[in-house]
Amino acid sequence: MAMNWPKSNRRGAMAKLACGLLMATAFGVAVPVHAASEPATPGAESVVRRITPEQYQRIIKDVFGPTIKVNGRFEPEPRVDGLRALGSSRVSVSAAGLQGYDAMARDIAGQVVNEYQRGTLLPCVPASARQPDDGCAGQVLASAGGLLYRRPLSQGELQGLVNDAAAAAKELKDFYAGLSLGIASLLTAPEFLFRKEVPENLGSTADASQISGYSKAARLSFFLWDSAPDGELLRAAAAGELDTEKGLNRQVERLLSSPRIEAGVRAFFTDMLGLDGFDTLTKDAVLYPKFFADVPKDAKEQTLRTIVDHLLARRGDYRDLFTTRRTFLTPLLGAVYRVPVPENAPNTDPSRWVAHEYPEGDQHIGLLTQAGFAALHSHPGRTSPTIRGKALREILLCQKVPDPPGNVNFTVVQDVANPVYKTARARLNAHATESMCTGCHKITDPMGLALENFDATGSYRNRENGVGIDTSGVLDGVTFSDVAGLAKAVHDHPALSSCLVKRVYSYAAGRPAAEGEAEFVSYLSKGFVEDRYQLPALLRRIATSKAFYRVSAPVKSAGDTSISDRENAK
Amino acid sequence: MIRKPYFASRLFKTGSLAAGASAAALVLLSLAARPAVAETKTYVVSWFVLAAFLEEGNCPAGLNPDTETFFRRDLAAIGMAPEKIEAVMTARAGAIVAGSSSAADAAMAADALIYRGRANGKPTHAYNYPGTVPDAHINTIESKFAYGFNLDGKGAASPNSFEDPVTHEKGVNNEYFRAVGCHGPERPSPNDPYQTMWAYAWHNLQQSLPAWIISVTGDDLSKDGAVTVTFDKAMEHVDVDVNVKVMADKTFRIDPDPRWHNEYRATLKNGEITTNEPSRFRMLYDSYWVPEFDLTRARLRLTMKPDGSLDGILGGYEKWRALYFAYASFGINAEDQAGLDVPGTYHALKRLADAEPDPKTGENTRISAAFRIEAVPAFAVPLRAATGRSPRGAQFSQSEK
Repeated sequence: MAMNWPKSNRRGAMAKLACGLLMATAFGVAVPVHAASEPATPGAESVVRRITPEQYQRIIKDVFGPTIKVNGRFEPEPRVDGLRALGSSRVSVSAAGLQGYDAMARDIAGQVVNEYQRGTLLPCVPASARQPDDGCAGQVLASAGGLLYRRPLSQGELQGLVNDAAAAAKELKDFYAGLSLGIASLLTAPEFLFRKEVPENLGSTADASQISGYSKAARLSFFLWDSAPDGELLRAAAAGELDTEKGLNRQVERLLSSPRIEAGVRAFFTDMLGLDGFDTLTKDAVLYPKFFADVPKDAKEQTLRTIVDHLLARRGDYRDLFTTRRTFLTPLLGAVYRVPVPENAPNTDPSRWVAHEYPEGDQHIGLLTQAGFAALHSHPGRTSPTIRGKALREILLCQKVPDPPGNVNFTVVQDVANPVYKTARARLNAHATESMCTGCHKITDPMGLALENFDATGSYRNRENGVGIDTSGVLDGVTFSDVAGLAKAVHDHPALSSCLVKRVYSYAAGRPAAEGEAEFVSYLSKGFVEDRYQLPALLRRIATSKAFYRVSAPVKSAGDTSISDRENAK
Repeated sequence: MIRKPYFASRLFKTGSLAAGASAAALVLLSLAARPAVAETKTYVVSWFVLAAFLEEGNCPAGLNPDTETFFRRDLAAIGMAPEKIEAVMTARAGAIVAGSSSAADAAMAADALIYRGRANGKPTHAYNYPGTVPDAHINTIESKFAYGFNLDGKGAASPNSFEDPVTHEKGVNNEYFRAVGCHGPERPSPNDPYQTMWAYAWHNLQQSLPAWIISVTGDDLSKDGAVTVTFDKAMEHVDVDVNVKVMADKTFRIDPDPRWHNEYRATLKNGEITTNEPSRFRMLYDSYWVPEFDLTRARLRLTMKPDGSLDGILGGYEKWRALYFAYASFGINAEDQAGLDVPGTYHALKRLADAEPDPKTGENTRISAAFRIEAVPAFAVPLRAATGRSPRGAQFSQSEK
């Protein structure tokens, strides 16, 4: 979906302060707003992250073009502290995983050099297609290698690759077969598959270092674009521009104003909201016959489109995502939600999305009432107010809900045909009479029950087993009678925005905020209020901060070098 | 002809039109320009088959014979020698059943069976020229009951008429059912309603057919009273759900071509909708099965069911040749795989046709028929409102209808 990106709306410090004060009053926010300077942080140990499947695919597209298909399986990342981005720093590559990477690399390299694409994808033509040509091979491998490794290849690295390509070309009497081997070697190298950040002591604090320019470029690019740095960012890193405030700001603004920011925002919210769960989500076909084929994919996309439109295209308040009536629908989703969505695109147009705005008073309000939440946090054959309430607290408010004990009797809750307990509320009330269950259900169910108007696919209903559904509830002292009340309570909850700040920073850094960074996170939270809860402003604050690039100690891992990667590039 | 507002209460209950401000404005203008419509419900047809009423003994001469029997019968009737018939049937069995015949033998059998008509002693195509296959006088329905309507208005006095088993209306004309009702492939099993030719066609064609949209409009559809029923062709096909049933609650755009707009005055009583007078029913269907339905003196009864769906019967006089070619288009497959005697059906339809005689030949051109309709809730919007424009070629004159 093409969005119209507004120009940067950065304001001068005074104007920002005035707006912040005004908006803080308007939204009734109790957080004091002031133009604080960034607090010093000790940094935290740098992490090594495996690139995600989405990043792998995006980089291949960026480096070799959209015609290259990535065929293969990736090893999954665990979810740590609510984010797969944190899990990516806790994984290595298994033997089977390496085989998978190797197969993908050979396949991709084969596509790049095949006779139909080489003319457009490669920057040079060898003197002979049947003999080695070190000049042309070196040109290709240096160009692709720089983008894949996120830094220029060292002379030694490049020469090794060129030599291997030449040997293979000579043996096979095929320049392109040799070149293919060289490209495949790049794609299976740890320097490509893992994001390793190299510290470069700039003496900013006694015991902390800034990461090197190329590492900064990678951090920035993966954070904002969910991909490797482009040529311009690598150039800025090489020129040392990312080590200056002016140079860094210029690059951050460039990245934020690029349409590619949408990919970064999508990647973050896919991770935070667990939307990858739709890849394996299934529903009972007898109970929910409409929920199949493209519907889960559309449900995920609906949520992402709503987010991108609201936060980027409209520069909206993050909290309003939970009360907005604007969204996007396909005809299939229209059938699930039972709202009219006519086809309005030519048959050949792959985009069947239409903007839709629910009227005031409609029960569809905000992200919680979309299938992206309601269906994702339900069982295959029934809703679960408990799972929904737990998801709301853990994902959106960063509050940990204890797991249920192992010996819980779920019989009543699961018995949706129970002749006595006809609604989820009645079944949960019966279940919660067991003392061991009461405590946790009190902190999850009152919110989840307010969503009972939405069945396990997100389709609206007002009765269950012939009995009217009671959607009243309470969230941390705020009572409500329906889902609109819940949406407002979530919107106004003080933990909503601070949780997002924590998540975004963790996602960007690849680790939870360190102990010594509490003040910095608080600074970000206050800034978020000051910036009227606009996501781009939060991304900017993080991306231009010193804390984001500070590590507490040099990385010590096998194969690491003590020299900076800028020197390495020489 | 006044087009009724298809954009039903279902649409307004749930929200603004997704297609944008222009569409919403158009809808509002439409509302302002005409008296308020209290309630409209819209549906998409989810099942459309021959309305076959099955009962023991309604084929007193028995069901029609199986494929091998009627093939042998027809070949003998055209004077083929017994040993040649045996050779044909052996080759057919090997080719079709066991797959063991040579290609030459299989082609020989197919030729013999497909060209089993005779004109001036020369072979003719049995499905294109079914009149050249001797009339085997296939078995037909002889019973008191059949679904349908008293189309000719003669009531019980109508010769060979039936009584509807549900409404008990007398004088029901349904000679189509009489003609094909003793074919095994047109007698649905209570346990498997999907085994008939019509059901097979529906299942295979439903996602390529233009969707049919029904709207029911009245002051208050929860009460008895006058209603208006419309049938329109949609621009889209239906979608099916995971159980391969037509998906409910989809949105369809109404084709503005007035040829496919059918509008009936009707009466709603106890949840049953019955049209007040005979009319015409015209609707685009499938070029392979029945290209176009064109029922004269059409009548309709529909039941609004508690689950929100519709169920009912559409009756009228259809061109019998159009119904014949539905079977003929399947050709040898209809006979070999489904077991339906195609030329025999031709003769029965021609013989039982009961309306609109050709002025020159005196031969009836239409046959009374009844079809079962089921429909599920859907949304419908005018094409113009959905797209902001009409497609090229859609500007038909109202007088064409």
